[in-house]
Amino acid sequence: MSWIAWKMLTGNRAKYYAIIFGISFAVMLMSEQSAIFTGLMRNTSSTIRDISGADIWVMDPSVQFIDDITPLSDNAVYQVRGVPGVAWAVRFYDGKARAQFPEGHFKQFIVLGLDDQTLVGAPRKMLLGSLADLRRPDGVVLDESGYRYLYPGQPLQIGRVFEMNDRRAEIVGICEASPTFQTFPIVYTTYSRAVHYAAQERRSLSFVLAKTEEGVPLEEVCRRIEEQTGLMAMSPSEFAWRTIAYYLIQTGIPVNFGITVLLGFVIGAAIAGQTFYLFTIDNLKQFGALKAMGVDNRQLVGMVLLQGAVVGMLGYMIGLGLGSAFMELVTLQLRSRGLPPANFMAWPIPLGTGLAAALIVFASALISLRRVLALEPAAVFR
Amino acid sequence: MTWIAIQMLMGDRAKYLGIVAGITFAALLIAQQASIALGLLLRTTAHIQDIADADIWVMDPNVQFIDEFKPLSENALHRVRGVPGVAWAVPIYKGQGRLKLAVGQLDKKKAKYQQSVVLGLDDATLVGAPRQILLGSLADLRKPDAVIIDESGYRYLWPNEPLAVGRELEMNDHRAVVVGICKASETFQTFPIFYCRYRQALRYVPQERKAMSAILVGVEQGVSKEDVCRRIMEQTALKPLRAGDPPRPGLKALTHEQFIASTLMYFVRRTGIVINFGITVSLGFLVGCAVAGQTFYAFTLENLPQFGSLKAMGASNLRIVGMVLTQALMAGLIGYGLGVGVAALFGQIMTTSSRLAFYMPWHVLVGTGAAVGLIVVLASLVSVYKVLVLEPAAIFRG
Repeated sequence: MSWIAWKMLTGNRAKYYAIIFGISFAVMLMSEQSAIFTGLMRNTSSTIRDISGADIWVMDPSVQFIDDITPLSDNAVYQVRGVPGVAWAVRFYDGKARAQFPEGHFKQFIVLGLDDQTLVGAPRKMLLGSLADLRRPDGVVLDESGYRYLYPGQPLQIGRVFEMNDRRAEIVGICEASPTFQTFPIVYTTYSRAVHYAAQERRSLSFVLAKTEEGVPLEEVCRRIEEQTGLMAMSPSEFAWRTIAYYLIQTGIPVNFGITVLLGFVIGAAIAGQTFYLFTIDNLKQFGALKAMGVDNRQLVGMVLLQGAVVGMLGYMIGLGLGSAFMELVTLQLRSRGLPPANFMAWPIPLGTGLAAALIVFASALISLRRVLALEPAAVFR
Repeated sequence: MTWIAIQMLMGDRAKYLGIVAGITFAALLIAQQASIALGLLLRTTAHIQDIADADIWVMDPNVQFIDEFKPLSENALHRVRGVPGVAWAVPIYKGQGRLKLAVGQLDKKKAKYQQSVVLGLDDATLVGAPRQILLGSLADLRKPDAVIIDESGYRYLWPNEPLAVGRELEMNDHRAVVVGICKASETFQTFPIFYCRYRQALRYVPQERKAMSAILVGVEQGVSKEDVCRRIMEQTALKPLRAGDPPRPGLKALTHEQFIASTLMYFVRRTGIVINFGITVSLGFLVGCAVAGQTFYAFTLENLPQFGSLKAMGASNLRIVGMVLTQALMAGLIGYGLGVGVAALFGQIMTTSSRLAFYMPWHVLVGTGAAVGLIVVLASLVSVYKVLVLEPAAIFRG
């Protein structure tokens, strides 16, 4: 019986392809848009994830996400150091500055200032130069995609010079950094230099990075810091999620991508569903003949479902493959131009699109089944 | 004959509604998304449009759009004033500051911070001031620490409170008093906008060595704006680094319209707005084609016997094609009207109740109409083919 169903399906070449096309289109669009969306959301918290070593971030209580910084007084670092359970605490600067190049053009940068002595928060992977060179006068480390954006088509090379806030900066190293949401190039430098690279307010300390003593629970230390200093303290993952939640709730990004994903689903359902229905109508005669030969309704349902499952599986795999391939191509393309890609195909995406594809197939099979089940076997012979 | 076609179409209620729904959905999506995209793009130039007094904007040659100025030296102002054809030239400051609400609040958790746009207007002339003051007066800007805030910014910072002057806030450790509330065009970044005097603005935002964002220029009567732009660029050009090279650009001068175009082009080229909305619009088109096309095809298939009888009765192919086109056109027109109507209604409701960007010029209607026309033609093409190759006798067989 399954063999007949299979033959029936592949026999009508045009409709067979159209159904598979509909489903793969839907799956491709949904998976690709979801990957861009999760990538964008992940990018918003890149700076937090890139900083290793510290397990507590201390900030002003009004801070809602990482790009919304209320500077602290320089005293804050000493206050945090005085809290029991804190092994060490260092200063961290996160701000923006405008870089001026010898050729005349300018570009907004993200400036990260690391504690002068310990360089806590330094990039994990250096591609060129060494981290210790940050101690040289005017030394900064630039991230790779920023370099590719600023000097397109040129080999990685240290020693280039530019200006920020009328001060000289020399690239002494190139590092790898996760792509950021704001797409600006990132420069790492020491804290004392970073505060001069950005325009100054009365206060400049963005965050205090702290480490708990061994054996003391993190939550306990955070609570003590908040109690003793009136500042806000949380773990990196908590801060990252707070940042992501801000973008989810306060911006139109989820709605925007949600609409496209939904459209993908509707288009897929419309094309695949309608074609599947037309296909079943075309084959009503065959189904009727089978019924007349004594095939019971359950077997017919099985046949239709099998046809649905075959096209569903094929469409899903083709769509997911195309979607991933497309994302990889775009990512490569963006990377070569120095633009940070937003691409994160988390495992729930293939799972979710799989469910959506199954839903499309199941719904279209249901509509078609109604016609098959209500079919009077004798009708086909009249 | 046309009547029969319409009867045929209306007779099959379910398919008729299916076709109309498909086209309505497509028209709605295309018109609505295009309007939102245009609305967003229009907002990027809000500040330039609001400052209508200036004929010419003078800025650093590397500036591409209004949100990223590179500060000029104050000398530039005097150099521009010396160019023949320039009636007046004044500085303007545009920057982003962080404001602090709940001044004097000791409990840190209650302090509220917000990014805002600070516009500093020439102290003497206030060129670039808002046109429409809802509360307070423009002259009050001369009071100490005075700022004028735009209405939607006020409603954002103090929701559900009546418009009132006299509120205090803090920017960069400096006091600011709201002395007036004005109307300003909605901007792309949706931050509250503060107008104040130029010297005051420099205190509200942390400063670098240079501060002046741009120079606003008025042109003498009888001189063309483009001529003055050219002259400003020529006169302020810098000497070449090596003898014999052409002079280096010193300042860039753009007319009001050119600056708007330049800002728009930056957003079109450098951001994903157009691509993003373009994808949704083309998806809408696809949905329309898929749903309307397939339903129309199924409809024609079911009515093949009718068309066959007509053919057998002597109706020419041209007639039959006319009938199919009439049916498609009718469904298309109804769907188009419904879709565009709902999109306009959506825009009307959203723009009055929220700050959604929505701008629907006639081009959107024409474009949507063309897209719907294309859908209709594509949908009927497949069906027409089936009808044309139909053998009239076939339906009497079997």
